[in-house]
Formats: sequence, C-alpha cells, structure tokens
Amino acid sequence: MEKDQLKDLENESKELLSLLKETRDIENNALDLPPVEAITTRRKKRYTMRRVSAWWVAAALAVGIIIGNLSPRATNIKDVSDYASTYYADTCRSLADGDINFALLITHL
Amino acid sequence: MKSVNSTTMRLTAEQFRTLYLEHGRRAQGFFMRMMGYDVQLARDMVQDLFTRIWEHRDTFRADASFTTWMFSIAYNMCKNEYRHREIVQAYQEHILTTTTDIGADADTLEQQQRRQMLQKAINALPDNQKPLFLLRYDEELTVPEIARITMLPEGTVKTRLLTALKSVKQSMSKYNL
Repeated sequence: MEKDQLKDLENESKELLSLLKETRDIENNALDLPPVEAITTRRKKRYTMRRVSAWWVAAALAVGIIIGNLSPRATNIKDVSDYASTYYADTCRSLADGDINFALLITHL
Repeated sequence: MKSVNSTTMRLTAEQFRTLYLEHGRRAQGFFMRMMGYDVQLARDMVQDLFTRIWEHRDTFRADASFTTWMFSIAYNMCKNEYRHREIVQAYQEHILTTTTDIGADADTLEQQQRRQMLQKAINALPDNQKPLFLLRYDEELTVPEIARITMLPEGTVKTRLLTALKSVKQSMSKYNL
C-alpha cells in the first residue's frame, strides 16, 4: 500500500525530483573536492596521534608501577605517618593531629 | 569499481584513489546538504569519511556495493554530527551566504529562488526523514539499499519517504512543482 502510494507520488513529482537532481548536479560540480593527498596526511596524523596517545598511556602506567614498587608499603597508620613525615612535614602534622588526608594516603599506598 | 567489487576485499592505494575521485564529490555533496550547507564542514567530513574507509578497508565485502558501504559510514557520521550541532541554526547562518553562491552563475533569478526554496524545504524535514529523502532522491539509492544503510525496516523507510516527499511537494506548491 505504502509502496504504491510512494510510487504514485514519485510519478506525480517528476518535475520536482528533476529540479532536485539538477540542483544536486550544479552544487556537486561547484564543490571543491580536497586533493587525495589531504586524506593521506589526515590518515598519517590520526595514526601518529593514536600512537602518541598509546605511548603516553604506556608511559603513565610504567611510571605508576615504578612508583608503586618503590614506595614503602604502609601496613599501619604509624608506617604511613613515618613515610609521610619523611617527605611531607605538613601531612605528618595532620596525621599526628588525627586529621588524616585519605586522598594523600591512597596516593602513597 | 568492478575490479574492487569482483576480486578483492582489501583496497589497494590505487583503488582507493580511484574510488575517492569517483565518489568523493558525491559524498561531499551529501554531507553539505545533510549539514545545512556548511561547505567547510562537508569538506572536513568527506576527508574523514575516506580516512575511515581506508582504515576499515578490511571490512569491505567484495560482493557488496561500495556506494551502500560508503553511505552507511556517511550516514552514521551525520547522525553523530547531528548530536553535536544545531543544524537548523547552522543552516540559517549559511543559507544567505553560501547557497546563493553555489551554481549561481548558471541560474536565472527565478531558478535561484526555486532552488533556495527547495533547499529550505529539504532542510526543514525532520532528522528522521531528511537523510532518507536525500539518499533516495539525491543519491538515487533504492529503498532496500536505504533500509540496509539506515538499518530500518523497508516499510518504515517507505512511510518516511512518503511523508517527506509530501512535505517538500507542499512547500514547492507555489511553483507548481
């Protein structure tokens, strides 16, 4: 039913569709198609960006693992306090006061 | 095209170049009309489209039509772009500056007005009708091909095409079209 209606309407609209195609041809011919080399450049750029991103992720992971392995393993709050006091006097004071910065603790665990 | 379709699934650089020269302008025109006559965006999108085609050349089925495959990717790109942009607003900004320039040399004033009216009528179509309309009447694809590209049932495609064509015809009625 819909198909017949559509076909009928298309047949009735031949002039309109002809104008549409004519307009399309004029517009398409007026377009300035980028040279094929632009595609190659873009392709290489995307590839390079992906590779660089992959390297950054890999580097960040490696640094994280190294830091994780080098950092002292805190088994209780005193260890954490000792570790923090070595590097961060302020944090040590906070710990001593009982005002524990959990975000900082997590960073160093 | 025949050499691409019949023998190989992985496009060579030379085949890619041929396809680009053969279909690039068509795809760019489709993007331009889909994106409210944003010529620069269409230029960027056609480059992006062919970059994707090259990157996904392994997924191209040798027995499939390149046109259908290309428009499937193009259609999805437009859908994504629609999510990020207010197309109607972009069209309104560009219609006064761009469309009158495109092919204006060959037109009389009346023809220009008719073309502009037609562009407006197409651009006013809802997002779920416009791509179907352009694929059917601009790109001259069949209903089954459009259904494959848009992943819609053929019945839905026909219904939307019918509504869209009626709407455009209504807008152009004053020109007796």
